[in-house]
Amino acid sequence: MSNWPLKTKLSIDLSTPGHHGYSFPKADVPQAPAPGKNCRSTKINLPELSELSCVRHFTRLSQQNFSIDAGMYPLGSCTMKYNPRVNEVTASHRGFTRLHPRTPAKYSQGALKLMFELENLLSEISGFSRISLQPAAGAQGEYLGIKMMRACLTDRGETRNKIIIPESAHGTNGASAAMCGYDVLPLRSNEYGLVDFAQLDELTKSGDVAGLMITNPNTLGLFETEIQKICKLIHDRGGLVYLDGANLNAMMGITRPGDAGVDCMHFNMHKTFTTPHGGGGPGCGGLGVSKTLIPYLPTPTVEKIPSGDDEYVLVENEEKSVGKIKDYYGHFLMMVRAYTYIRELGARGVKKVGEDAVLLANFIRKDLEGHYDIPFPKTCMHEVVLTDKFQVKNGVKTLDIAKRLIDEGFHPPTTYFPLIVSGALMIEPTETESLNMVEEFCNTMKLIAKEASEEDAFEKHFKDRPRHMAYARVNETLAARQLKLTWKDLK
Amino acid sequence: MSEIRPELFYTKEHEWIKKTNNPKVFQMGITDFAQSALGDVTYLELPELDSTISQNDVVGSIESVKSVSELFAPLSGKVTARNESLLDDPSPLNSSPYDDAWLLEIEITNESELSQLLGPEAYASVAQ
Amino acid sequence: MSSRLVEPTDKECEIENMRYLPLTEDEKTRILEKCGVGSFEELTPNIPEELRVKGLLNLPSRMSEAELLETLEKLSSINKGAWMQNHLGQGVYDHTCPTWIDQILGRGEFLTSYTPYQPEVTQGTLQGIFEFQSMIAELFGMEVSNASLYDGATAVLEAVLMAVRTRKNNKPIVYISEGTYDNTRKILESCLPDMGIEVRTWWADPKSLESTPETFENDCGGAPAAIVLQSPNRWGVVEDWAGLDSVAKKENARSVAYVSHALSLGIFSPPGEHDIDIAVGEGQALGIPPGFGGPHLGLFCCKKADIRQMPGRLVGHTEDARGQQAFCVTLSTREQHIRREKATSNICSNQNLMALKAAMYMTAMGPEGLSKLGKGLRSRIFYLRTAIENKFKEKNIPHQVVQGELFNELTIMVGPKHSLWVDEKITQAQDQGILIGLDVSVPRSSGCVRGLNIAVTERHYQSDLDKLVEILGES
Repeated sequence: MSNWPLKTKLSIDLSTPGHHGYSFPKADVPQAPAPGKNCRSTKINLPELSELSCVRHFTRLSQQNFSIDAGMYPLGSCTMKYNPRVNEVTASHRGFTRLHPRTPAKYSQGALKLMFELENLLSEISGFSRISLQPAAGAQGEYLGIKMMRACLTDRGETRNKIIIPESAHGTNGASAAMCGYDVLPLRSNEYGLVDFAQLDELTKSGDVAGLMITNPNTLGLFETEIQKICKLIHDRGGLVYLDGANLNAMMGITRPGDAGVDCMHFNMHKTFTTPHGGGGPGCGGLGVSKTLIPYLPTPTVEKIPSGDDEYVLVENEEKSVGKIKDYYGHFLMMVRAYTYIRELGARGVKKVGEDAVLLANFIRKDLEGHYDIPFPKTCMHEVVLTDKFQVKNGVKTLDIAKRLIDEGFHPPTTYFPLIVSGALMIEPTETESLNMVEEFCNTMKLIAKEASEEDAFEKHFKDRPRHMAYARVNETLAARQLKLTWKDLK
Repeated sequence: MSEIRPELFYTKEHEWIKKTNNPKVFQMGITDFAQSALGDVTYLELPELDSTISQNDVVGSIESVKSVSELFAPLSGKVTARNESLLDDPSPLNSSPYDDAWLLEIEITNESELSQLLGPEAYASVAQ
Repeated sequence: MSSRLVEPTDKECEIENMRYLPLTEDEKTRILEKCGVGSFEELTPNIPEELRVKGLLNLPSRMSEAELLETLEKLSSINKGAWMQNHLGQGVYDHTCPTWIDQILGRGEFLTSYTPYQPEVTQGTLQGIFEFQSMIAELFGMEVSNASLYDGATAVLEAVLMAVRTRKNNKPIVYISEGTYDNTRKILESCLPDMGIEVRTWWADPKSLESTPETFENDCGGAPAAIVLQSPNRWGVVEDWAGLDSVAKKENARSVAYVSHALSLGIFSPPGEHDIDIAVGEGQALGIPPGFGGPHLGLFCCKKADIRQMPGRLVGHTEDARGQQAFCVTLSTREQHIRREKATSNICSNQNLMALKAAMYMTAMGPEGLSKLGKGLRSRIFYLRTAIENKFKEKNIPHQVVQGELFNELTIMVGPKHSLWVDEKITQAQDQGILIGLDVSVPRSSGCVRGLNIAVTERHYQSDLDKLVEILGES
């Protein structure tokens, strides 16, 4: 990352009155009289920069960012795979970008067809009967799933208020359940890190559980072998099963969650299907549903006209639908990217994604054995969880290992998650990394383990990391205490 | 090893309780173990002055950069004093958890609850 | 699914897939050996046999890049609406955006970067978002802004939830102005009842089409938690934030201002000038394309006193260990990854890339640009309204055009006898390659039954607007 001398200036501090970086058509109609009482009286304190100043400012900012394009992100459960550039080209076509969402169907057939076909592709990959592309991101997909489950149970005349969520689950699970008005019943894992079936049996005996939210493979990277049995138990007790699809990458072309009896699963297009993370969003969610939940799909849905000749239309689904959770149809321009990606892969490519992701993670598992504590060492899917147990004895913690990696050119893995393992380091290489790169990562991790075993390890190797980047350790405590959130606060 | 003061009482939730000159009023705070686990404290929420609290109720929260912990009422009673300066600057919770960073004074209404508090040895086994 | 191509063999697929899937057969064997197993199935013993996919999924054949580009270009070209003269509005607009922005936004360091949880290596994103927060707070006249939410409608939803959380002693009731978009209302009505919150309407005055203190219910039966007013409203009329403030204070409710068109704040008084509690908005007009509905940009501002109840991500100013100015995500303890089911909302992401784009747009425009653009839009819509009114007078057409203050949209309202006029005009315009506007519902008390809503952008010239007037004047 670069060391520009001007890097820390805010755009407002680079401002010169009268400068600007825009160019738009002048109005060729007579000027309207000034607004009366609603007129803005205060000048907006925005920067005034020429185009070159704008470009330079943001270019220098970009050079302070780590990115997939620049290096590896072994972030567990994030699936930071390469974002193909061909997706950016297809998503920037005028027919997609300048299309208004309420354009009549006859003038937006390409968009409707793409959505319809994408739903079919996802359906085939995941094994679910229907897909909704409306959710803006994974968390919204979760919310939609729970909402639809609730609608289904209400339709059956049930008023169950509890949802079971494993302690290993992602934080959004509990938050989404709460937004739908459910109380959360936590579920422990068994000694293998999997769902404790006996405890699940106990919890559901009362008959007032609406359902289970489960992640598969779970957040330890382990496939829930008993998934069918679990779904059957929940169904027999009158509930429904939601699957957190964050780890779908491990299953691509290998197994289909819909086949196991799951009622709904959210997609993270920005994980499995390469839509770019963009520094934190936009995501692109999606929800796959079983036949049971089809009537409750949000409105509108894209349908193919049966009599027509490759013609598509949006249909308002009023009757039992849960309604709308997102304006319009979802993040369409992200759908274009996901669609492009899946069409490039084909069936063989999809299968190779799953296989390669699992193979590379297992390479890491075997290679780091003995160097790091691996709580569940026998196997893993697309990600492996380590802990700092060996290193902590010598005063080196997970956080220190993470920050140490930065100076070696790697983004840290996921840390301190899942919460059920102390000092967790969750590593997911993804299949777009070459074995060379994965080996380099492992060698770096082994070097760090060696450093951590030396005398005075923390002082010598881990203190004040990163040491070689343009920025040293950022003071997060100060940020939370002083709460300066706009440049006005800096005056 | 975190510090445990011999003259104080404790709860499982890593809070300390101290007698005051008034036999009905007790002071409380969080232990050295708690402040160390939390990390740098950035914000504090306390119950209102004169409010009534019940043992084990959630009466506030202590926020650090990476986590937020609930504050549980160790005893039932009325809040007769709050350490107001901590609300503006909670950093003494880290530097001086037993002295400068007392949180509340409670006028208790149920003396039998006192027997449920832990002594320093019992607390030492909790604060591993 | 169609694709005109030559079917590749299995081996060819393997090779062609290499560009994203570089693991070779030899490397695969090496890994299996290292793991002490003979096959992929042995490596994944946890997957039951009956759940394994047999063979390959039934997906269309893979495509090479050239075929891919052609297929997608074809799909794009069928969307004729993207090439027609476009007057569709209702919260999404085909504004212009300086081309340098897409070029810089497309840099891999912005596009392919992860959420800034490791601040030392993401100062680009973090400073960019700090600047975004600063500019949005300025635009809205509010003390603080978050790092964005999914869209305007979600922002309204989150504002209502926040109002309810911070008014626990009030009734869980929210009033939404009648002039709020149908879609937004639909989302609120789909999501709020789950959380025990009732949605009621703040009716609009049938003449002015504004929701005012006079039109607010005399007796709500208890203090509601929130009152929401959208401006400009769905008929294009600019509402008065002072009215929202006065009603909310009278009812002891939290005021929520919903700015439907971010550019309107370039010339109109922002919510912050009226002591509004929570101000939200849709930021799509800040350089983000219509994109058939998304991704767009939700904006969220509030007072500093309420900051711990604010949903979404927040970036704060700080320094690094060398004393350099730096930024990081802060107050994450409100968010889902720490508080889990007690989080202020379940939101995980912000619309980061769109927020950066908006930041670039606002930087390019500056206060003068926003003011000039806003004035130009308003001049166009005033010109259009006058021209339509004159034409209606000339041709004895009885339909009404909304009165009052406008920004870039207007609505023509028709009485019961002329309901089909709206459809006729839409069709007539389409025949001339013009998307003239959208069908909107109108207040039941106005005596009219339907409305035709027309939006203008800086892409429209006087000649374009004259064409509309011709069509509207035809019998």
